[in-house]
Amino acid sequence: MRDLHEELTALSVEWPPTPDVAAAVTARLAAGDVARPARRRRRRAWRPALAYGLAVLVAGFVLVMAASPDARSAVLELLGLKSVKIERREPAAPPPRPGTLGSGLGLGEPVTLEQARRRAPYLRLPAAAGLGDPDAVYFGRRSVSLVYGARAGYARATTTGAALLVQEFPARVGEFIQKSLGEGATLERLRVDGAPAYFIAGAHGFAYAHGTDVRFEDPRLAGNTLLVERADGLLIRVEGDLARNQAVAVARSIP
Amino acid sequence: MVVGRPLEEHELVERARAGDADAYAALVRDHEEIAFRTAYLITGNAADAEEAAQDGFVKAHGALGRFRTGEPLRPWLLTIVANEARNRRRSAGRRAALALRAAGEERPSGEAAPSPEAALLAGERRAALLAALGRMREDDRAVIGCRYLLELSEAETAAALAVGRGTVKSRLSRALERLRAELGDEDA
Repeated sequence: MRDLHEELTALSVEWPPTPDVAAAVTARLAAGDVARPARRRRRRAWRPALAYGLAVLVAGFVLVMAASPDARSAVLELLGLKSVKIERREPAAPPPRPGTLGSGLGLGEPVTLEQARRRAPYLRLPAAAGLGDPDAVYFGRRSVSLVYGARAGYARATTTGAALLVQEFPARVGEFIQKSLGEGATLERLRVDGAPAYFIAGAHGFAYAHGTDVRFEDPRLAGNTLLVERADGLLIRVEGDLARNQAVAVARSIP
Repeated sequence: MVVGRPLEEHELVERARAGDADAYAALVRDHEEIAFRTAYLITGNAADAEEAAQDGFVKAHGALGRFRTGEPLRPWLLTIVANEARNRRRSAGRRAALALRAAGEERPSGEAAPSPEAALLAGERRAALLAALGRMREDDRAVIGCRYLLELSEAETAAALAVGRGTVKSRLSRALERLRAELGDEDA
């Protein structure tokens, strides 16, 4: 008979890596947070979490639209995308700052394509006809962004100053992209090669969650956007003045 | 500022109370691992455990004024974080199985190195043990996890589980019985 007590005492467990709680807590306290209500799960209480996240950064110029919380939750349920939160409210719209292609969009650090490949092994380049290599590449905390200037078939978009922005996010638990749809935007649910996706036509707000914290980066106004959550865990975001089919073609061309 | 000995916990608490953000960050850093793992034992999922730890430490900051100087800080923090973890589990409305894996090696027991066969058997046994633990009901796995996996003291376990020390004792002994049964071990 083995001694269970001794066995348990000798047992050493592989715990999930401890997150940087100290940094997140410090940031929240600095932002004047006093413990948000429990739960961020979408069914019940994503609204307070989101309200909090936005209140910190965009206090004052976000106008919540009349859509009821239930209606908004229903939209989320319907979408079934794990990494994205959508809310119907008027987006805040700081204009993109001038500079090199994509530099004002908060995409991270400018890198060469080679550097991006090294630092983000998950990166796959879209091979859509006429696209060629991106004109600028950014490496962010949790994404790689490929920025394409105007070229045949792709006109420059006023929201980003670029013709096409393709972003790839590696797998991650929980929602980390938050979008706000104003009255002018429409949302369409579709499947791209079997993967759940949606296409947002019309300008809308767009923000990333920052680290593990619930704060959001400055939201900006985004143009037509396709989001695809692939089975391999990659979340792909394609943005530009594109028709739905063109955006789908770009997403599909990513191997 | 003169760099001297690292600050004692009670000094950090005093400074944090006075509004020193660095002092509070240092306290969080000291306890975030044990707090996160305790929350993980309760929620069975890392994302919820992370949120519970974050919210717990934010709340604890607001409650520092009520913390009694001279008491140990760790059980007090564990009470708050574990409570957050329980709230999350409740609102999640489902029972999560806890997935734990044995680390590569056992903690040294001072015995001679085992033969490869014995090591293999021991490895399987550890996996079975953790699987059985993961299947147990939450109360059971939490008390065993706190005492054996996290090596919390009886008082700390009581704080984390929000029960008295006597309850920790009786719950632990019953949980061990059930674990034995789950593993199919006979009593000696």
